[in-house]
Amino acid sequence: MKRLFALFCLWLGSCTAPIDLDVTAEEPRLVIFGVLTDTQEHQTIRLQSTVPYTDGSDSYARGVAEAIRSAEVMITSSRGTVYPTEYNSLNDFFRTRDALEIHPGLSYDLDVRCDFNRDGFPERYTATTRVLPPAGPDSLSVTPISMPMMDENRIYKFSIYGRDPAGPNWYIYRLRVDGELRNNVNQWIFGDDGFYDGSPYSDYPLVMLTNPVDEEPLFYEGVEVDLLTSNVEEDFALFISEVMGSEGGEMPLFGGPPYNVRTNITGGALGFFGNLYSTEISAIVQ
Amino acid sequence: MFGRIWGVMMLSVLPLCGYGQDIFAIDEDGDTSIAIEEIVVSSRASDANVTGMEMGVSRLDASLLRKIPALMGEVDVVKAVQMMPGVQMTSEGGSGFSVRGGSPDQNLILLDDAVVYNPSHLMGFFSVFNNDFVSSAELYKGDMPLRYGGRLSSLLEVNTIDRQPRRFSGTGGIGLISSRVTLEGPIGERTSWHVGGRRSYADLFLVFAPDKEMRKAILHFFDLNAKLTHRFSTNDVLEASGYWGQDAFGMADMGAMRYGNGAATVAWRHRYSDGLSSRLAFNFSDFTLRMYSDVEELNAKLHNSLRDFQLRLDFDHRAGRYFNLTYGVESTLHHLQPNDAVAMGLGEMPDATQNALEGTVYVSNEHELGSVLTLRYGARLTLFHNGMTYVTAEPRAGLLARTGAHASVKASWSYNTQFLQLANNSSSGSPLDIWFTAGPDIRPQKSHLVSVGYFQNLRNDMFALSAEVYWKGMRNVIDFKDGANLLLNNDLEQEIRSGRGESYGLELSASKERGAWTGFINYTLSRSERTIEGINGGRTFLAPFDKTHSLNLSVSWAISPAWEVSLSWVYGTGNPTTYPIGQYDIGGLTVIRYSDRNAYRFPDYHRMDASATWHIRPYSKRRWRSELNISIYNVYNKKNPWMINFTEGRSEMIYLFGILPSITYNFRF
Repeated sequence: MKRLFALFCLWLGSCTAPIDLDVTAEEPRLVIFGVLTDTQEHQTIRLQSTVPYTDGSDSYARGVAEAIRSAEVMITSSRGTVYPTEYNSLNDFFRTRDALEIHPGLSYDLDVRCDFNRDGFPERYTATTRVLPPAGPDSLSVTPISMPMMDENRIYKFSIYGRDPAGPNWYIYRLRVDGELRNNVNQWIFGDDGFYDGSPYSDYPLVMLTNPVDEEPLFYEGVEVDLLTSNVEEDFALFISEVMGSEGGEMPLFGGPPYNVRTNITGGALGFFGNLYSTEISAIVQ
Repeated sequence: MFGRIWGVMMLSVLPLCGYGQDIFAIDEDGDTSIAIEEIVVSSRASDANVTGMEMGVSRLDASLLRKIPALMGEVDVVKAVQMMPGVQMTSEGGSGFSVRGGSPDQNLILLDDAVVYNPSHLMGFFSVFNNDFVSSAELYKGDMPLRYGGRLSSLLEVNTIDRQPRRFSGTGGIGLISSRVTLEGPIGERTSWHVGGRRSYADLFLVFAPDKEMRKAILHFFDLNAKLTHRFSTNDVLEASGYWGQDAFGMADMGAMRYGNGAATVAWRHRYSDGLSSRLAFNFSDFTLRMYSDVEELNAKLHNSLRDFQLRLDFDHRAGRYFNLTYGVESTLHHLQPNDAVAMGLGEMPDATQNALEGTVYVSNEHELGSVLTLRYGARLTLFHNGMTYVTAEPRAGLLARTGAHASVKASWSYNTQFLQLANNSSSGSPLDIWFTAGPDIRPQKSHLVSVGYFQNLRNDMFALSAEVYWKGMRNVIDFKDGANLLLNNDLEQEIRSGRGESYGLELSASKERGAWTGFINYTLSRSERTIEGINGGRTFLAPFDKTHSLNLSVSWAISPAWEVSLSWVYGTGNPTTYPIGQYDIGGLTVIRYSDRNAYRFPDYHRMDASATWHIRPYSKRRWRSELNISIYNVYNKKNPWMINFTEGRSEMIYLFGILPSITYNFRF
């Protein structure tokens, strides 16, 4: 569709130009983001502040904005185990003092106390994440496909096979390629079971990926790829989907009005507290 | 220039292209002047805007349409409609329009009585109406005749040519985007036929593209129109007309998208007496979208369609001053087949075919109360069934008071209901949009429209002035939740939110329809808002097409028999939009914080277009007549934003059209 749109814009001779927006910046809001994992490790929570959206200023995207350092951050499991955290100035994270590994069936509460509005009294922000039973495909294939207008073998089709549990499920997939986990949020893959809910599925095209341009190829014949699948709560999956689609603004032909990304943090903060409990399957790129 | 023309003599010996007769004007000295290019013969009185009951009506005939400078030289009835008071274009260059703050799907668009569900080509930049095949168009902004209903905002009635040609003749044109031809002729004394076609040819030039892959691009649209009329007697006329058009985009070995409308009408008009006549019609409408992917391992097909089968019987019954009745009955079967999709690895989507039956009876009466007042009142009673049954009554009433020989005051109230709506979440429509019906969780949209206006003609109806104020209240208007997924979704009810809407405004219009100088100026001051639970935190926000000020000006000057120039200028307050007001980071991705829904506006929109038409050899007695039209869209190259991108802290607008000249050769024989 984007290719068609590009062709159409080309035909119209449309152009771009910078535009100054006369907008009033929002008052700063606290942003809390943490994703617990099933790896026995120190889990991290990041506290930051929103910054104004100003023309030409992408400083925040580069991590220059000041992190929130002064806060009490605590995680409590539904078994009652409390995991206090401490600020790690190296990475601007709050990190659990002890290693924490999440388990299906349990839920975890986040409790943050922070005087974000600097009135001398800390505000309280909370969230809960529930670890769902593992679910996902039982096998994977990665095959190159040829596509017109693309170089030979530049597109790799990731197909999955398995049986989906009944009821709507939401998944976040991550790839480990040649032993290296691609774990940035923008490398995650979001999906649901709308096409195969409660049924077996075979050769389902999960995603098409290309090798990065002007870099060492990521996918090539013989390289091992692991697919980590996490069965997650709907809100968390949609949060990730919305984060991925946040940039860009309104697209008159195919998109609706822009909107703010959801949150599960109470107390007026933004961000999300979620978890990834993964199952893993592997394939060799053909 | 011609002096005071006091007589018109029609000389049949010199055929005028397209109309069969040449028309010469005679000045007051009795000297024959020059050939008038054309004359509009209308059954409608020249002061009908003052004496008629209708309010909020804009009438456009083919000659007026040709005078308005056109985008890429493509004369377009919808673009002309967008210049009428109370009407806003939904996006730059698009064929969507908003009437008095309503959404585009609240407009009922008819081509010879058949509904056109997607009136656009090329993603909306051209309408499906071939101007050579159009005789007139009428836009009713809410207070529509009682024989029509089913939409909240407007009725756009496009009528195809209905003249009786006395010999084989034709019209056509060759433009930069498309070419067209319309042929017509008689079959015996009582039968006439018309056929017309139009096709774009941007794709034909792609064979010269340096990129071999681009040569495989599919990019075109076409229209076909046909009409057959047989007059059995002065009392019985049988008409059949049809339209078929299609757009195609894609790459030859990858896949393509083809979509288009079909419309057909068969009607029998019968006159029982001078006061009683009827029209029995069968109407068929179709909008179909087909997409397919041919790429290896990614084969997929999608088919969406909506078909209407309608039977209707309408009567006009005049029985004295107190009974000027129109009444009738109609029944429509809506057959909706959305998201019929199959894809390799994905299987088939569940069948979501739906049939809905809509039946209506209506009656309307108009009667005079003395020489000053005229009343109109009536109602439609509609039953809509699609598993769930809705019965609605739609009363409408109007009052006309003559305040002078050429002036009147009018008032009207109408109540409208809408059972079908479009799943469209963007500011410009796309062929992927799906129509869906009211149901258990989506109640029919309803509106009250109240309007009052003053109408005045001057200088023997040469100038027409009007001022109207209106208020429209809407219930159950729909919008879509944040991030709604409308594509390939058979559970649209989950994505929809409904609430209230309100629009009000003032519309001023002045026009001059005769003489060497013709034109119009229309101004609208308006406000349109929505309040919908679940959107914008339930707070009231501006409707997407709200414009505080809108000013449209068009003027045409027939300099000489050979030359005519036209100029138009449009100005409008920028469309409401949602701007970024902050940003934060999630896992290395920048997340934008947005303002309240439609809290800001795009920069104001304005644009000037100009055209010059050279009538080649205007005095020639040959049948072949031709003209050359040169038009410039966006004369002063205003960069009006079509969309604004926000990326990495920067804002950048995309504008579609800079200055855009075009040339079109038109002919008649």
